[in-house]
Amino acid sequence: MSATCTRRLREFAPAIVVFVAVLALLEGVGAARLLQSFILPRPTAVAAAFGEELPRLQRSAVNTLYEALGGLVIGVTAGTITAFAIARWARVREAVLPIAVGASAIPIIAAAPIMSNWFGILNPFAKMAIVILLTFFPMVVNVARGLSQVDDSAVELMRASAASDGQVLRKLRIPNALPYFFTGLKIATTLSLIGAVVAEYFGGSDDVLGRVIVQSSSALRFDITWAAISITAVAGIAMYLLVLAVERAVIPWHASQRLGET
Amino acid sequence: MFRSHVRWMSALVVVGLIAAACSAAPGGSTGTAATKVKLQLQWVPQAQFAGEIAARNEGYYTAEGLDVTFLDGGPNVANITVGCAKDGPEFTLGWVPKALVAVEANGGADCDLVSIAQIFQRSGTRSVSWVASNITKPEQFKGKKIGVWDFGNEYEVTAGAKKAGLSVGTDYTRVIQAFDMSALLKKDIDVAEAMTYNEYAQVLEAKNPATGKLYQPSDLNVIDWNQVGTAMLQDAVFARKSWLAKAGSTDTAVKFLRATFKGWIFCRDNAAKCVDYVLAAGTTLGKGHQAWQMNEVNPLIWPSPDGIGITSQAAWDQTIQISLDFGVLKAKPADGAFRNDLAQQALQGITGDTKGASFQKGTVTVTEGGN
Repeated sequence: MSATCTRRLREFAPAIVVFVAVLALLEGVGAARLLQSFILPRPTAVAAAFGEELPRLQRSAVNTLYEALGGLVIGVTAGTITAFAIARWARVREAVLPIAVGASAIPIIAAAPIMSNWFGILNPFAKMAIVILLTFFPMVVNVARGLSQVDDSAVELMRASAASDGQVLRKLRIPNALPYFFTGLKIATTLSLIGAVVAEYFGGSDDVLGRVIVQSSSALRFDITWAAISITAVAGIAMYLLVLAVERAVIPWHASQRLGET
Repeated sequence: MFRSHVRWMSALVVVGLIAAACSAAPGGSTGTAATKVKLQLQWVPQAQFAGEIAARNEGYYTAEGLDVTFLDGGPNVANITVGCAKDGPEFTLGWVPKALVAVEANGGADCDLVSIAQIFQRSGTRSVSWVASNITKPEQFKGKKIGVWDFGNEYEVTAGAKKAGLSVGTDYTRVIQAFDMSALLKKDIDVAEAMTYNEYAQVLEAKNPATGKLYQPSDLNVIDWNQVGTAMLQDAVFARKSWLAKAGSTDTAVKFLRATFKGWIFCRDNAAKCVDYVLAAGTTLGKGHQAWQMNEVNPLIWPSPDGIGITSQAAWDQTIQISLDFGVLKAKPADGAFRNDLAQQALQGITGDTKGASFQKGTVTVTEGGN
């Protein structure tokens, strides 16, 4: 146990050292008044803003995470189901793929006000819809590739052993697709936070991180802005690590996992 | 190996040359050349800035020896932030409370904007709702969805509701509007914040699906925050204190203000011409909308009892008091947050009517979609 702990610590040590060094540097720059405070506030000022604005930051973080996670779950589910359909039926691929590509190419700034008009400006689903738009496509592309790019000889071997379509799917295609699924999921988790915060820029509830960022930055309270940004960053890292942990548990046999174990 | 060294060296030389050219460019003005200054607009070009646009088109800036570059604002431009930057524009158009908040938040030194002329004497902010909702005063916000814009544009509405004893969240839901009126048109919200010169017209420019005709003013209830007593000072010209302290700056500022004031006097007396100037300046909304806007902006300025650009101490004090009462500001701004001396000097050189005491608002009919 303690051995793994030490190893983990050694793994993260470089990242921690860099992080602390950057914070110290920023603090020094701020203390020496080399930059105007609204260009880069001191880390201690950001920490103070955290304390000052805690209730609102908490409410906002909950609301924004709800939008991001809700959209992520729907987007990932829909994307995965679509990928299965695409991999199974060529017709579906021809019908759905152009639409999926088109939908993923819509700029968020165009889609966000439209979603607000469709679902109502106060409805969190209007923000989730943006997250769905962003997360759907990486899931479709990754999972569909994982399902279809299987070893031909393995398929032939299974067919020769009279395996059914269902058995090929369960024993060959799905295990093959899992690493692709997790790659898509990692992209989707970070995109979900970006999607939620940017969608919030186009109006709606007052208590969301996107609004905290807009309001504080337009009042030149960049200490609060950075506090809100840190929350999204920490949430993004947490979600990413969670996906990583699940991935390690589900596909410990995969090469991508062994690579991480240095 | 040798070749890569050569490439490095030549790259360094090029960078050096560019840097030298850049640092040599400004400040090299000769005696006769016009003084170059920049003006940060608060929003996209529209009749809200007709006076400045007219001053440029009528040659008032050139006559004062100024070459003014306009920097557009808009939903994604933080005009005050731009104005605070050390190498930012000399002049910034902005709302008074928003600038004061920025100055306070940065300890006065890092952002040192000072108001040097108060263009709009009255607030153009209203809260509009459908007649059927029967909301005619802020007391009736209770339990409703109240739309505002944030970015510091919400202070008057929030203060008005607070004056009526209502607080955000518990007594009413505050909804952040997009910069159009769709939320009100779709009845997603009960009350919408609207400027007389912009969004109010956007509602009247829309078709009522029930009648097939444009919405009428009689379909709407309008709360005027000037009458509620929570109006704050809006469009003012700001300059950085540190810039004003430099030799020749106050002289440049007086010239800029004089030409700007003349532009607004021109637009009071030649509104139609100014609408054409605004349209030529590349506005996104149509002629009908700009004609409406020009007609609504003039009464925010005229009459100017002390002359255009002069900040009334009473209006200033009200803005500060509301900001303090409703937590917009933590403390009273330091003395010198606004100054009238430059505007007064600017007024001295103007022969026309600088007060517009007999000004009467005209009438403009809205057009569908503002075209």
